[in-house]
Amino acid sequence: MKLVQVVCLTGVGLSFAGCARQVSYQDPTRVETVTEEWGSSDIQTVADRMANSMVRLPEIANNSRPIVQVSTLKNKTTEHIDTKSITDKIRTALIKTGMVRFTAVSDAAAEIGENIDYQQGGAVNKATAKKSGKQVGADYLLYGEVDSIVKQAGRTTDVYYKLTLNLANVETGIIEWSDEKEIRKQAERPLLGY
Amino acid sequence: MMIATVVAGSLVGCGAASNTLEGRTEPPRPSQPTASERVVIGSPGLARDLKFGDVVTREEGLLLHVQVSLENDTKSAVNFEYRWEWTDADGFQLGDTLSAWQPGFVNGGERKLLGSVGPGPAARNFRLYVRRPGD
Repeated sequence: MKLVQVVCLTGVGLSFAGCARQVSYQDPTRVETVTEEWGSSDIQTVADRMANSMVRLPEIANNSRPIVQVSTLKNKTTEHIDTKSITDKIRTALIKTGMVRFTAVSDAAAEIGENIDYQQGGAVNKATAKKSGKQVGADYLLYGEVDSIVKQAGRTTDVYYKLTLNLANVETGIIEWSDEKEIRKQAERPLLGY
Repeated sequence: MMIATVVAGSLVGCGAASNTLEGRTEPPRPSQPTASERVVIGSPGLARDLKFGDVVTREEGLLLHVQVSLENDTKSAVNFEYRWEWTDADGFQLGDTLSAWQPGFVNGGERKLLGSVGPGPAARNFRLYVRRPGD
């Protein structure tokens, strides 16, 4: 009886070992074409396009280092797209140029307020405690939208994405810069399988 | 593993020529880098299909703008991937946030211009890496 149990357990163990997933590190910058849906390469492509385009704006190129607040990037596609991931990528690229500054108000207004309250609460040396009312107002607001058109015919799916970004002067309301990036992908379903 | 093959393309615009336009003599343009210096093709055979020509650079404000021309020497469309590598004057890499491979496409016989802007005022040098998808 015991021998049978050992043989069974060994068999089960071996079968599980055979099913172990092979994991390997891959280049996160390579072009990803696993599916036709929005993916990492699309984020990288639009971030590159938008950052490259925005720094050409004379108000940025003259190194006056304007302050930008990231507003919303609306997802008007039928997919779930983490639009904050897109704006984060663009913001990071722009900050690294050293030519644009961003206010953290969009992301961390509550945390900043809490921290100021804490610093003013008596636990922090008064000489170094930061005061409220000294935040710098944004010069520009960055906002936009991503939309898509999906068409399917037979085994072919065609997806067209368009991401538009705008930079509006907060004081005047004028859109000082705008650009768009179009991406088109086509997927062909195999004759057999899914 | 990527086999880096530096393209020795036919190059134009390396000299510092003076152009005369409507009687005005424009100052000589600084010599431009060449495709053989700046374009690295990582896929065997791709250099036969895509010919890289002019490389032009221009400083606008504090930023270095670059543009590389390529031509599809075949009759069919060519898919490729490309990425820019930027370095400062000392050779340190910059702008790694934007150094991802990007998909490219050029129709048969078509000419295309790939352009980029240095990721900040410190960007002085660049290389354009090109390869076939999946290589």
